[in-house]
Amino acid sequence: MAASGTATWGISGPEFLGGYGVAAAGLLVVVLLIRMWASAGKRPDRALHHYELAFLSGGGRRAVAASLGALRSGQVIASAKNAKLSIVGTPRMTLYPLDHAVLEAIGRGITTGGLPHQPQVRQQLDLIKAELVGRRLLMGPAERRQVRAAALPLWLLVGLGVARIVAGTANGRPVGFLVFIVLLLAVLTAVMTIWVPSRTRAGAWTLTDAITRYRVYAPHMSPSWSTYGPEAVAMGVAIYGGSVLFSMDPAFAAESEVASRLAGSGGTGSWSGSSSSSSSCSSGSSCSSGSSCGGGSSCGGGGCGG
Amino acid sequence: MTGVGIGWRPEIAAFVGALPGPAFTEVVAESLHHIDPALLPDVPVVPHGVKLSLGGAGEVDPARVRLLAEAAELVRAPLVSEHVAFVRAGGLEAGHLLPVPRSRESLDALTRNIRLTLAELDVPLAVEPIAALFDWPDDEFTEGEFLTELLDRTGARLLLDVANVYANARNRGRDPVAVLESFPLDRVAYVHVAGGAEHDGLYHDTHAHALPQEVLALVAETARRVPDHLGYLLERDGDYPPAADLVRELDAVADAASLPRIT
Repeated sequence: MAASGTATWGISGPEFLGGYGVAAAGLLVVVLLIRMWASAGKRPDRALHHYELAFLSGGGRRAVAASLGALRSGQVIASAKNAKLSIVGTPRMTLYPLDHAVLEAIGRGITTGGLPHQPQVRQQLDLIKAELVGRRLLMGPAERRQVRAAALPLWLLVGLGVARIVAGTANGRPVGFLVFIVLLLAVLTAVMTIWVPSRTRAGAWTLTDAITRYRVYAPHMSPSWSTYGPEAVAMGVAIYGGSVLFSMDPAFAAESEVASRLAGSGGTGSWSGSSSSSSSCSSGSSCSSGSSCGGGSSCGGGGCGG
Repeated sequence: MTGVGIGWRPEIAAFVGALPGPAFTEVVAESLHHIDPALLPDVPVVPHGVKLSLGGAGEVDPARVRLLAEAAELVRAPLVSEHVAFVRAGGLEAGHLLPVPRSRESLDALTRNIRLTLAELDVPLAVEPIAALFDWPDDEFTEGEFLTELLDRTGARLLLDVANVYANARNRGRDPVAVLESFPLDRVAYVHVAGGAEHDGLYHDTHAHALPQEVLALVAETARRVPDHLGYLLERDGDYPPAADLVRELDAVADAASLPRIT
């Protein structure tokens, strides 16, 4: 072990701490800029279809809920207890491919919650999702990789900090402040590695724009869904969620359990297509270095950078 | 205002906004301050008051008159309208429009209140007689006489509701056309058209049912008697039907009034 009077790596604690802090702050800004660039997307050059907006807003489940709303408004389907659905009429409305797939699944006795998992429904949802990714409104795999990769330099900086903590501890220097900074940086880096937005910024803008564009369908307007018809109902569900079904047809909304099984209640929902690759996060191991230092409280003289 | 219009209501804002050619629209005056103006169609908007209580025994509330005047300014209205009715008395709110007795006393009260209102307005005021299921025992005038006298005294104009004419005539066993003819038709500013339904032998002017043929016939009778084309406004306030039904009713009103269709 080196004598406690020598600076670790020839750099004094405060100097290292200052430089490290500046580097971390600068790199964080750069990484955030890269993330913004990688998730910018592209504002659409046409108004989105109601099922595209539904998927953008709440994923495949919201899109299926929107289809159920349209089919109910068109008096094509009915509900029974425990989310059972049935076909009761001949469609006299415009049917879209998703409606056909949903109707086919209802014909086979599939209940509300199971609809998004049926192969034909799944296929239509995948097509909608691919369209949204292609239009750069949803984050595709490439964008997600870019956003994740942007955090890589931060992990290198975390690694440097850990090395300094280890060396500083071995050198008998106080490391409390550095441990605190490295921990903070590791947590921020982990968040930026795990958390990738489902929508691009253009996608988020598209939803905000839709709320303005279709504000006549907002709940406070008490829209007359019987006047507006199936496609408006689908648009309403897309933007405002399951509450639209309750205002249109309370009995159907309750029996079909569409809010709890599909639509959610708010204007934005979770994206069912979101990635589950959180295993790539190794933050757990890097954070464990905190326990090896235990010297936080011993830091009194200001030279706490190892 | 010439042509066919429809009352703007938040529930059917998208329908009204999508109509290609309404001649005008009407908005409940008391709600106008809470409405996003961009949602209103780009046509003349008439604020339609429901809470002024022109027919009350006391003077109209200056704050309510001011609100009506502000509503008119807000949408640059060509005119405003209110009811020949009272909605509160003795500090109690009735919650709906109540008929005034057709007596000299209420004629004086109405005259005073309409003059007070007109003094604050920069635009004309049209007053609308309401549908009532009963007559007061102390009526001294027929409805036509009463209205003629009121409009002569105040210079206000008439908002003719043919559905109210029909309801009142039918529920009293009178001929709707004869009642219509007794009204001061030369003072009509525009016309209200609305649906209703029969219940327990009485016809109710609900604004929530389909337009009866009899009301459409009164539209045609009015158009025949008033050579200058008038504005005809479809009022629907509840139980809104599919858009196609509203389109059919608007077309029927236009056809009955010999005016261009707005759908």
